[in-house]
Amino acid sequence: MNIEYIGLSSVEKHFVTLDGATDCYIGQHAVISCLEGTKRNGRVVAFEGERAKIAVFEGTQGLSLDNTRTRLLASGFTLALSPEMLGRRFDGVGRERDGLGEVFPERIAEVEKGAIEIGERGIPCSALTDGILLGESKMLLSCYDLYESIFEILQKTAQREKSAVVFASVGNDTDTAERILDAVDGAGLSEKSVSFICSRQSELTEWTVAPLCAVTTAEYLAFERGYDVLVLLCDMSAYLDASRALASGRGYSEGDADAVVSLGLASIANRAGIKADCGGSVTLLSLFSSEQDIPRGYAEML
Amino acid sequence: MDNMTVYRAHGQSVTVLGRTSLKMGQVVYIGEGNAVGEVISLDRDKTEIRLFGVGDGIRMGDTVRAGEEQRRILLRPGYVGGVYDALLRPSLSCLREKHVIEMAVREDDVLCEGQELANIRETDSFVFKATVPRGMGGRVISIEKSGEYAPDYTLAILKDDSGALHEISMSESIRVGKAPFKASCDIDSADLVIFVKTECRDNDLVAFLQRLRECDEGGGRLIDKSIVIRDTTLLRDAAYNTAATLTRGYEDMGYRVSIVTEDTI
Repeated sequence: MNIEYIGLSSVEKHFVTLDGATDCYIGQHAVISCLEGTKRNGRVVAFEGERAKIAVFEGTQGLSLDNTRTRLLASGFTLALSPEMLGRRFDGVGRERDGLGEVFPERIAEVEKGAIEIGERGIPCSALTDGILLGESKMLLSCYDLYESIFEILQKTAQREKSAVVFASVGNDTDTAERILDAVDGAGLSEKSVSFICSRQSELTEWTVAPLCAVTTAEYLAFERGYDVLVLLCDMSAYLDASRALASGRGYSEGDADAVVSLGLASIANRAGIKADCGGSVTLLSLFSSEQDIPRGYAEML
Repeated sequence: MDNMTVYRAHGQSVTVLGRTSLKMGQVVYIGEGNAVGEVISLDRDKTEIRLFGVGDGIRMGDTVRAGEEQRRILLRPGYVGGVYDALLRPSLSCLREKHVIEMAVREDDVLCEGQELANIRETDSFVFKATVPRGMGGRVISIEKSGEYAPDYTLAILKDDSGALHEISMSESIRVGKAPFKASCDIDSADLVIFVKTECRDNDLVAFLQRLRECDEGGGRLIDKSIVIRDTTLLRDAAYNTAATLTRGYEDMGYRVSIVTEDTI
């Protein structure tokens, strides 16, 4: 049933509430259209009776109780995928940001659903660089000579027959993001890279979605298009801060919030891998600016 | 029968409106996705449920079904060699719809609790023993022949001294207790090893399973006597309780069981 809800019941911080939502579920994708023509995306995070609470990815700035129309879609948040994405730049929720127009989708995928079942997973064994295997997930602490190390890894990636880079910049200052993008260009991968850039000024909600968009794109390029994809997620400490800040609004107690946040991080790390019976790989490098954010036993240096 | 539906879902908590006949600690199943939770507070006009795990996918108005009064697991053949979550839901399953069984008793035999009824070969090195559940016993008045049966098929009917009849299948539902257990790393001499893997990545798990397949120290492949239970921070107690309960079940079959946790590896 396609119902458009006119207006909102409340707007607070990153969340809006909607009355009369008779059939919604946790994780459902909401599209909020403002009367001046812009659209924002959101995710149902809680409900009570017919009142649904929605986290708005692009922030609630400018929303009022009357100037919106909201639709609840039949799936979770989705991303339009296409080989045309290579060489393009998007924001944290997958809207184009380079002025080259919308991507014509070949496939639509839910960002929260991983592409590899345990039963079809292969064991990473061929090396990308000295310390990194194709299909591995690594958690690294950002450090001074990080860019050199990343540049080396990018060069090795570029040497592979069919390779691509997906970069998600979360809460970095423009400088950091540009330096990594320069490294991607320098390695000759600019036409084979997809970037999801959300700046320090973007909304916290967007920070939590950008890594999901990145891994979903990577899975598509790897397992449907046969690329060896290197995913760079920087800075995952910012992602964790944002998730923590949103957890209480989602209804998790302080004690549970940490568990939920680390569950989210683990589910992103789990998206790296290779399939036993098809080509392509997703190699994931998560960069952290704070050592405490790296789960025990997973911290590594380049 | 109460008509219980989800009124509120917020984080890990779910509320059902109205007076229900649920009991504290009772297990409930929610919606098509069968999300599992337990009752944590009761009131005249609402019942609070705490979910095991996150509430993704829970829909407004989803039916809430009452489950066991305490969490139970089904001890049945087929777990060995597989990977399960803290509530024993399979993530890599070896469970089959039917199992070949070999009966170990005849009609008119008198059996007491814990006594062996039938054998089911699960792997090269592990045989599941279907036993008479606790609190049951008596003379076998009807019994199936050896053959292939579903796990819940009644294999034998016992008649006890008071004349009551007990139907026995190869699977048994056992109550999950909060029993303490001793973790060990004694893998060689154990008949069965239950690994509890905490916060384990899929890649690491696949590599771990491969190591279990390759590890053969004379007594057969290690995977043939292993059960892997995955654990997340939200479910930690549940995983250890499940492991301890499974251990009790297999120990009743006369096996030596080791629980290996992350800390003991």
